[in-house]
Amino acid sequence: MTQTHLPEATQTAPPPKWLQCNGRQLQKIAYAALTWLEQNHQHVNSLNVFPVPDGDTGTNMLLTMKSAYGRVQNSQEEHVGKVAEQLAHGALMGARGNSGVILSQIWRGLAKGLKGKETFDAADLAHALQTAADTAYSGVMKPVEGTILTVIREGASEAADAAKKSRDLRFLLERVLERSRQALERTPDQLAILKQAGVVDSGGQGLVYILEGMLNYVYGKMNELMLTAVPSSNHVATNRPMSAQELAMPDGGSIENPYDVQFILMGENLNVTEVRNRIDAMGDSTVVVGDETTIKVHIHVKDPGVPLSYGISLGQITDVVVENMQMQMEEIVQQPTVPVATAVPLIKPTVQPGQVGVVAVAAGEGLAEIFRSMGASYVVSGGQTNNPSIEELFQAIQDVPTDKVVILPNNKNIILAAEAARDLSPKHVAVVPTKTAPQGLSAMLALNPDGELDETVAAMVEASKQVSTGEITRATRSVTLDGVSVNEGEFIGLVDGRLCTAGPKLAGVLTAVLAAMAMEDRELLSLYYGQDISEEEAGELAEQIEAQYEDIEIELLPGGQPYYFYILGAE
Amino acid sequence: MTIKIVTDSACDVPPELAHQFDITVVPAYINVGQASYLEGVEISREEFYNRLASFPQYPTTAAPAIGTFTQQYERLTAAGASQILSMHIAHDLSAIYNTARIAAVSANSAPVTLFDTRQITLGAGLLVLLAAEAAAAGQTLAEILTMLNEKVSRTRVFGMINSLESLHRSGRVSWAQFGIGSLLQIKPIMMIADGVISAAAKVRTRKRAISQMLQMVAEFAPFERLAIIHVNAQEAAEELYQLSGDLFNSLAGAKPLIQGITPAVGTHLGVGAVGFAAVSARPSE
Repeated sequence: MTQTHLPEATQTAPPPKWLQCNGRQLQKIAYAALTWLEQNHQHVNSLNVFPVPDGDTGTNMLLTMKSAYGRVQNSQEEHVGKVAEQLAHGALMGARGNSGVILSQIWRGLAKGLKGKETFDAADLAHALQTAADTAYSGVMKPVEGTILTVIREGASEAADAAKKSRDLRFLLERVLERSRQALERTPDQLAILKQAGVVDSGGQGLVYILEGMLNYVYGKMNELMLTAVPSSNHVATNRPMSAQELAMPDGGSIENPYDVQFILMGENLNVTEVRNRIDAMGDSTVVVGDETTIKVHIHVKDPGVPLSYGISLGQITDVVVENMQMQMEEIVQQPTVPVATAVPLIKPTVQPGQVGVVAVAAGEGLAEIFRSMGASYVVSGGQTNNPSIEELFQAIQDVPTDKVVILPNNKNIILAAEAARDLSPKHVAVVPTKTAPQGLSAMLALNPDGELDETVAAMVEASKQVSTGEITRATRSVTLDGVSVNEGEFIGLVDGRLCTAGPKLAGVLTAVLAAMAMEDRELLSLYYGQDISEEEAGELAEQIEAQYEDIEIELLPGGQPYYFYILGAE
Repeated sequence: MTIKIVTDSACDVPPELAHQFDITVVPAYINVGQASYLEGVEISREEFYNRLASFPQYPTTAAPAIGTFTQQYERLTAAGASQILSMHIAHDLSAIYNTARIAAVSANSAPVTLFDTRQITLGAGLLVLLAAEAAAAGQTLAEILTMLNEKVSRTRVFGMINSLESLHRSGRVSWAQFGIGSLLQIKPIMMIADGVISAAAKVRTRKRAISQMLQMVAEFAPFERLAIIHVNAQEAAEELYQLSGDLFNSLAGAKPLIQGITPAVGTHLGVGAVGFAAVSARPSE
């Protein structure tokens, strides 16, 4: 470690030693990290190995950080252990994508390490970073080196060393950052696929930006950042300071109706439309969804007794939440970052208590509809570039009116979040680790709602393996991978997650994908066309395939998925 | 003491065997729009299925008239029957049993004993044949009923549905409850046991459906009776027999029974459906 590696600012104006960090300072550090990540997350996105618009690591980590910061942004808490705990909780609930989930584990580990501390010093931070690294590793079933895990592990080890040499927190963070950068640069040596793609690990890069942001605070660049940072998210929690008045009206509601009331109504022959109309008339910000046996109600009212009494007149009510938003305004308690609309069921649940229910993730209304038609209780919207958070998945699990739930992530970048949501839930939850929509649909065939959870999960896992998945999209960058040379903007084809072909013409790419899927040995091809493809286009394509493979039955369905022109399932 | 057996056309007793054992088969009605046909009498099965696609409205089926049963009970009594055993498709799935029951009360005939096979198509038909054979062998009505009650629980019908379209159009059952009210092409394997229809498996392709159905049937081997059934798909039924391997081995010397399915059931399953009707030789657990 030499002085030349340090940022300029330290050389021109070395700050005084910083020995203790309190809660307010940690809050500001988190804000600085969030802001710096926000400014750089597109670069992190661009580091995806596959040239496909898949799981945007930068966006996922940013949303996770936003959710973390959202818990403390208006806090006056001085106790650093408590602030860390809130940050960790926010990260956990907002985490999405694999890197987001690992980032949330890092925060969790930090919070564990700082538990009970009024303030922390260098030794405390080194200890907490080690706990953070350990927690991150244990959050992954099969840890892989050359990823964000390696970066946090090396950073933590450097922290231990630095803490022995100096009590200065700035010194420690500089050393951690430098070592993390070095670890990041070495990731292509540890993971062949990174080297092939000519990139460093994206999650590791995201973490380095977070550490850089933290040092930005230390270097006193906060004022400058405050002026330049423009939040882009439309989520409730942003890094924009919110007024107390705004906070009291998270859904555009009015202070005329200060009580936020939520409950689940269970009964028989309930009339959803009628309930919605009646509830609507009682206040504002109404959400009423469900079916004839179960209805979820959310409303802002003057008197919480009115909707609750109405609910009791129709059946039983459970999961009652009444919050006084006026009090919240005074206490300045942060609302969850997830808008209410995504946390409520998108369809009526068909499952009965005691049965096995399914929560499926689907990108595109068409695919969502197909999952519903096959008996999925809840479909969480999300997919390639729009990974649902742990909290959204958790909410969906909780909203299924049974305590036996199977989650189908249907995307490799959602599996970890699904597992984290499973661990949060007190229900019996199992993740069937489907990586594509066709795999998820195959798994649905083996669903036995009346069976034992373990048995039905085993059957669903087995069924998910019966299908081969093809995907056709456009390359987001130029790369040579697995022997396939891709130019940005070209059509590319993936078969079961592997890049297998690229070309300027869709037809040529499709032909290669079909060949790689061994279509001549198959019986059935399901063609799910995306939102950018018209029914006519898809129909013509299906005819061409039919002409080529005479013995194969072709099923054409509107998937409505973004980015992917076609998703193919072959059996 | 002469026991005569009455059944309905939805039990699918093959006509030559019905003739051989003097079993009276009362035809069900098939309604197409305003028109109503007596199955097998006013419209042959072949003609029905060939015209199925061109019917302006999807056909429905209806129980025979009460009077038809009354007439048959009285005719058999006049011909010398001292006991009548009236066996019908599952009471839970059809109005036929109840129609026969009402007819039995009002008929001026020898005593009529109703028996609910808790099955459909040849699942019921195989039980009718077992009863007819026992009657021909001189068993008493009590003995026959004891035998039937024991065998009902060992009887299964399996059917691979070729297309969900018929199920959807027939609108008889809430197919969504089986998870097959699907937008995707699915080949469900339906199983009928003790009057309950269930989706025993759901697969995407015909080849896999056939192989899975064969596995399920094999779990009930050896068999006292085993037959192949089909909805106007003789060729596919014979193919299924070829694929059946040694399933039929336990049936000493018997040539395989391949039987078309009644329109009363076939309209729901759709043309091209194939399956098995089986009475296991093993007592049920």
